Formats: sequence, C-alpha cells, structure tokens
Amino acid sequence: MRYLTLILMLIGTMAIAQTDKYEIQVDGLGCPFCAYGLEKKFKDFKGIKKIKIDIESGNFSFVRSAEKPLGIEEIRAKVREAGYTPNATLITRSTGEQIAYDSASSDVQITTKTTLAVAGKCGMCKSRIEDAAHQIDGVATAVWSQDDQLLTLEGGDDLNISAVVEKLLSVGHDTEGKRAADATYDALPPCCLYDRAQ
Amino acid sequence: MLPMMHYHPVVCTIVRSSLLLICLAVLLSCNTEYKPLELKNRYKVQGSGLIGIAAAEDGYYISDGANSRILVADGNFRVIDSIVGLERPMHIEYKDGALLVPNYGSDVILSIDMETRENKELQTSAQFDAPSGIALSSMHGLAVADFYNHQVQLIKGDQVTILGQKGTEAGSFTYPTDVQFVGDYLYVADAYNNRGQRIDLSADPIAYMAFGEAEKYNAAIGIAVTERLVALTDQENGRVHVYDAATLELIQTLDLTGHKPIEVLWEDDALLVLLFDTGEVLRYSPR
Repeated sequence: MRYLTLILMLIGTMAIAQTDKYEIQVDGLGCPFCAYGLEKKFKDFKGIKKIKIDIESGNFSFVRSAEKPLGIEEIRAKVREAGYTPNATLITRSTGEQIAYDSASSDVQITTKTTLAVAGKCGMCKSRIEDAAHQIDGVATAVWSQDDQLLTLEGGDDLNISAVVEKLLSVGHDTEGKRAADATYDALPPCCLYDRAQ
Repeated sequence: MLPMMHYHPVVCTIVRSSLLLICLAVLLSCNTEYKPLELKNRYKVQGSGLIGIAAAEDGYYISDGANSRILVADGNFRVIDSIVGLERPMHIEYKDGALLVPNYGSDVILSIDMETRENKELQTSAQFDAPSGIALSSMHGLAVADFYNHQVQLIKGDQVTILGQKGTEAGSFTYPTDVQFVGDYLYVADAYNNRGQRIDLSADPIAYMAFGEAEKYNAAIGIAVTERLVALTDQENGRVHVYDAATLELIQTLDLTGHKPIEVLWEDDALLVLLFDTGEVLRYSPR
C-alpha cells in the first residue's frame, strides 16, 4: 500500500512538473462576458488547464503540457486577437525557467510632450490605447484619459505622431478626426464599443 | 320621518350592478397605480461573481459564473447546496422542476432535473457562440441570447428561428445577454446597444421595438418583465431602470452607484436585484 501511495505521489509530481504555467495581466476586464469571452478564445490552444481569471485584477493564468510550449509573443498575440490588451506576461517553464515581458519599461529620453484626441470608453480601451502607443519607437510614456478623451504622449526627439495615429486606428480607436476601419471597430470587445462621431 | 321609496326590481338591479362596476373600476385603478420601489432587504450570498437568479419552489437558484457552478439557496439566500462542473453559467431559467443553464464557456444549454440532479444537453440543430441568457414559453418555446452571434435563437421542437443580426437598428442586436417572455412578447437585454428590445412574436412579420435609449445605458445586461413592468440593469452605470410595460416609458430609476447590477427578478410587486461586484441580492418593495 505504501509503495502504491509513493508511486501515485511520484506520478502526480511528474505530472505537475511537466506543465508550463502562463500568467498574463489584462487590464480593465470589468465585465464577466468580456472576461469569460477571453477565456473562451484561449480554448483554441488545445489542452490548456487550470484556467483562472480574476475580473477585477485582470489576472489570467493557465497551465499547458510542457510538450506543447507556447511562446510569449504567441500568447500575447492571442490576447490581442481576442480584442484585449496584454500587459505584464510571465511564463514559468516546467524546468523552472522564467520568461517575462513587462510593457511598462522604457529607456527613451523625454524631450517632447503632446496630446492626441482619441475616442474610447472604458478601462480596456485605456489599456489598448496606451499599449498601442507604446509599440511605437520613441514613445516613453502614454497616458489616456477617459474623461478628456485625450492621450498624453511623452517621448524623445524621434517621437513619430503619425505612426502613433496609424497604430491607434489599426487597433480600432478613432483618432484626431480619423476613423478606424468599421471592421476593426466592430471587432472590439463589447465593453469597448464607444460612441463614434458621425 | 323620510318616506319609504319603492323602485322597480329591474332598476334596483341596474343600480346595484352600476355600483359594483364603479367599485371594481376604483379597485383596478388603485392596483394599476405604480408605487415606487424602495430597498427593503439586503442579502449577502458570496464574495462576487454571481450572474443569474431564478426562483425555485422554496428558495432560489443562483448561477455563480466565477466558480462555474449553480448555488442552491433557501428563501433567505443562505447557500445550502451547489451544483458544480458547469462552464460559466449565465442567466438561468427554472420551470417545472428543470433548471435551464446556458453554459457560456462550452456553447451548450443544459437542462438539470433539480430532483435527481441529472443533467442533459439540449439536443438541437441550433449552434451557439457563448449562450448568455435563456427563457422558456409554453407558447413560443425556448429563447436563447446568443452573445457572440449577436442574435436570439427561438427553438420550438425541431424548428429554429433566428431573430436579428448584428447591428444597431431595432431588430438588430449587439451582444444580447438576457431574454424574458410575457405572453407573445419576448424582451431582450440588448447589452451593448445599451437598450432593451421588445419583440412581438404574434405580429406578421415579427415586430421589434427598442426602448431605453434615452437612459444612456452602459451595458444593459439583465432583464425581468411582468404584465405591467419591465426592469433592465444598467450594469456599468450602477442603475436599474423600471418601465411601464404598456408604454415602455421610464417610471423609476434605482440608483446603485458604485455597484454592478447584473440581474433582476420580479416576485409579484417586489424586485430582486443581483449585484455582480459584491455577491449581494437586494430586495426592493413598493412603498
């Protein structure tokens, strides 16, 4: 009996050790329909287990067999494909190795400050807008205000405003009087469907 | 002394009938006058994450989306049992001993026999993408709010009728989340068009009427209806609006600022409001 217990414990330990853990922070998941929608999209990755999602904190995690490893960009792209915005992301491999991504880091020297009118509606919009701006070279900080519908950008001499505008349009947010493609707007999560100027 | 008056029996009958009719009319007018709702009781069910509620014979069934289970509660909302193993159950319906559960995470409708706890999947040709609300009518069959398909599916026997498509016009939906029948009317929480819709199933062609747009909803998530009243939750603004069912005009707004009302349920003249953020049920009764 003791041997059987030991064997079962060993098998259990091996099973735990053979999974990778994925943790992603997704901002502003205020509504359960959006949150569980994100979870539903991740089921495209077959074999994910122990899914946890905390709507208030936006913490989303799951495990998957180490034999089918996912890359950090792969899971961040999946979050974006579902219409959401990935923030800090951490993968802990079965070996203990950790791979991290932190979108807040920037080493740009600030010499320029400007604001853009950007339409949005909620915390998820804020996260998406700021994340999109951060993806443009030369952007050091990007802070969007829901009340003012303004994005305040700080960056270096090479801050490319046109590139930021195009990026924002590409993720579905009308900017500086320019309209995002209807299909892109329609693909936003339900919480984010802001009123559009005619 | 006053003289005794004698009338013909027919006249007496007419007078008596008229008096009865007047009394009846007065009584009816008293009954139809809306008495504003006020908060009477607060019940703590659990921390947060509750989504739907249905009245049972001697208590309530509550869908716990966060923990993928159904809570069985007594009349004071004390949890006495649970049914686990579901996949994000949303707005539920209970009728004739069966609990109907839209499993948002697995795109199936479950019917759970609450006596035996046996459950079976609804066998239908209808395909869902995140079913989020369900209602049953003896006349019109089963209605399902089909969230990601932006439509309502009406299932009666083998026949499936699709109501609406994605859009903003009356008759179109943007992420519908809840449905309720009253007679030939089907009411829909047209969540991200930020309004309600009433569908007249007896009309030919089927007629749609949108309402609540003036209230500037931010996510119209849960709906409850009676012959006289409609309640619709304005989740992100922390309000519940009550409408006259005959005119669809607003008659009261319940202010729940700072909370997320996600579901409503009428119990005669009282209204139960479920808060997603605190896991509480609030009971409002007429003043």
